[in-house]
Order: sequence, then structure tokens, then C-alpha cells
Amino acid sequence: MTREAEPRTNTAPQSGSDSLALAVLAALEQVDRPTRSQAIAQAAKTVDPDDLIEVMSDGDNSRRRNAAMEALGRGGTRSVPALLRALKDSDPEVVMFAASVLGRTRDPAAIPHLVSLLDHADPNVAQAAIDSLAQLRATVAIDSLVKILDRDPWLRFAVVNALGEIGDTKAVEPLASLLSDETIRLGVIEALGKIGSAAALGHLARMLHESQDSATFGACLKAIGQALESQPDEK
Amino acid sequence: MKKTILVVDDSSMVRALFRAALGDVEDLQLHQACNGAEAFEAIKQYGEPDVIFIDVNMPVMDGLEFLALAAKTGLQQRVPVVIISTEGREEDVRRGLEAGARAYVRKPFQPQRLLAVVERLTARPGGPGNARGDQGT
Repeated sequence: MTREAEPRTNTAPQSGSDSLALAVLAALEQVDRPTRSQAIAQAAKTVDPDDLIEVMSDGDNSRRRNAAMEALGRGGTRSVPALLRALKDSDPEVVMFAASVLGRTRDPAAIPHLVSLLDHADPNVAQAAIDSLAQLRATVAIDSLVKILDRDPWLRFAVVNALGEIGDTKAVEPLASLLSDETIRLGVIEALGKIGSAAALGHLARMLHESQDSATFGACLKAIGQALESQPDEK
Repeated sequence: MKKTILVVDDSSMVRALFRAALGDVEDLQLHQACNGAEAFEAIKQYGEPDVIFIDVNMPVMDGLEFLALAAKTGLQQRVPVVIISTEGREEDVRRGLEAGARAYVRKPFQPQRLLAVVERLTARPGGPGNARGDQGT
């Protein structure tokens, strides 16, 4: 299901709940952590997500911004429409924050919107989208992720990590083709270990056998160990 | 004796990047945490590291809050903290340095440069590159 980023319709504050919402928003910058945690939990359930987006977009107070992002993430599906609107913001920082929170919502409706950010000119925005696709275990995004494996090293590493986190066997061959590239090899080995399929183990065993350096050898051993540990117990 | 590095970031990609860049360096041990509160837990469990890399924007406890608490407990005086920020967030960098961070790295950064930052910050007191405000990349 794809949720469209519809324009915000209900911007007028409701007088009864408005003072409570304002108090919760103010509490997001509390230095006292237990108080702030309570405010975050309350904001996730009751504060208009668009108001939290406004706080998130305010660059002046990082404590408040991080608390608003946490509340939006915890809000899950109810935060998604506001976050999708924020993806259209002219400030790449706001887009990056929104993209990164969408992964925390655990709502798969965000996936196509995150995929559309993979070509964003700002590498930090694209990386935030990739990280969120990894958090969402977005198997449907694998082909789009594989397509950007030829981008700059930062995004390449992000994609390799995401393919490992998603853990789908479809990513094994595209990842294995990168094993000859020593700039990214250790990340690829770790990702193959996380996927842990028979094909992934085959590539890791071959790499272990052919490894010329202790870092590759050690990484292969570790990845094979992780893959074997994650196999379902047949008993 | 091994130098220990603590990387604190909620991004699994950034933690993986540190593992790939520093995880197999001889005489270096890497610990990881997802936020400032977990970082204090890791310090309790493994002891004080030689260098801490910490993201500014994280849930639960962000990098600036971690720095403030680290200053109160004296940790900041003993362990150099490097903040991880993104291009364009000059305010975060300024606040981080004001809060006591020794250096900063900006995303996207080159993983190969992390080792150089660690070496600079763990050099003998008064040695080259051990000054406050030293940029990482």
C-alpha cells in the first residue's frame, strides 16, 4: 500500500487539547530524562504529528529535535502522513530527518517514498533513506538498492549494509560480485554472513580459502560463524 | 596494550563502517552503542575507552547530552570525544565543540581517515594533533 503525502488539512488547534499539546511539546526539551521520556511517550500518542515535524525542523535545539523525532518514530503509522509531507521540504536536513524517522515507524507504506529518495543529490538524505529501508526489511527495494551500488563509496557501503540487514537471498550474487573490491570487502563479507543462505556461505567459504590477509580471513570466519548460528534449529 | 574505541550511533550503517575501518586493526578494540545512554552502559561494562565517536542526533540520549553528562562525571576530561555530524550542521558542530568535544567528523566521511583521527587523539599529551577543535576529516 502506498500512502500519498496529502496536504495537511487540520491545522487549526483544538482549544481543549491544545494547552495539553503545548505543555507536552514544551516538555520535550526537559533536561530531566524521565520527564522527557514521559513527554515523548505522550507526544507519540496525542500531539499532532505536523506539530512534531515543526519541532524536528527547528535547528536551534537539538534536544527538542531529537525528542520530537523519537516521538514521531514511536507514533508509528499515525506519524507517516506528516513525515511524507516533510520529505518534500526544501531543506535537505529536514528531508534527511524525516527519511530517518520513517524507518523507525515500522510502516511499510513508507517504502516507495524512501526508494524515490535513493537518487537524492544530498548523500546524507540518500543514506538516511537506505538505512530506513534496511530497518523496514524492505525486500521489495532490493533491485533499486542494487542499482545504486555503483555510486560513491559512502552510499555503496550504506547499500551493502542494508542488503545484509534486509537479509534476502536475492542480494547474494550482487554482493558477491563486490568481493574483489578491497575497499568494501569487509562490509560485503559481514552482509553475506547476515543473509546466511547456502549460496552466501558458499561465497564466504571460497573467500576464506582464497584470503590473502588476516583481516579478510578473520571477517570470513566471523561471518560464517554468524550465519551458522542464525540457522534454524532442526530439533 | 590495545586502544579501545567506542562508536555511538543509531545508524547500523555507520557502526558497520567503523567495524570495517577499525574492527581488524591490530592493537585496536572496537565497542559499539546505539545512543548516549547505551554508551554509558558500555563504559560501565568494558571500562573507559581511549576515544569516543558519537553522533549528535540520536534517540534516547543524543551526543550533546552525552557530552554534558560526560563533563559532569569527569569522563570528558579523561577521554577525547569526537562528534559525528552531517555536512551543513555547523550549529551542531559548534555546540559539540563548546560542550567539550575534541574533534568532529562530518558525514559522509572517508572510513580510511578514522584511524588517522584515532592516532592523532591518542598521541602523547602535547604531541602533534592533540589540540582541541582538531577536525577529523
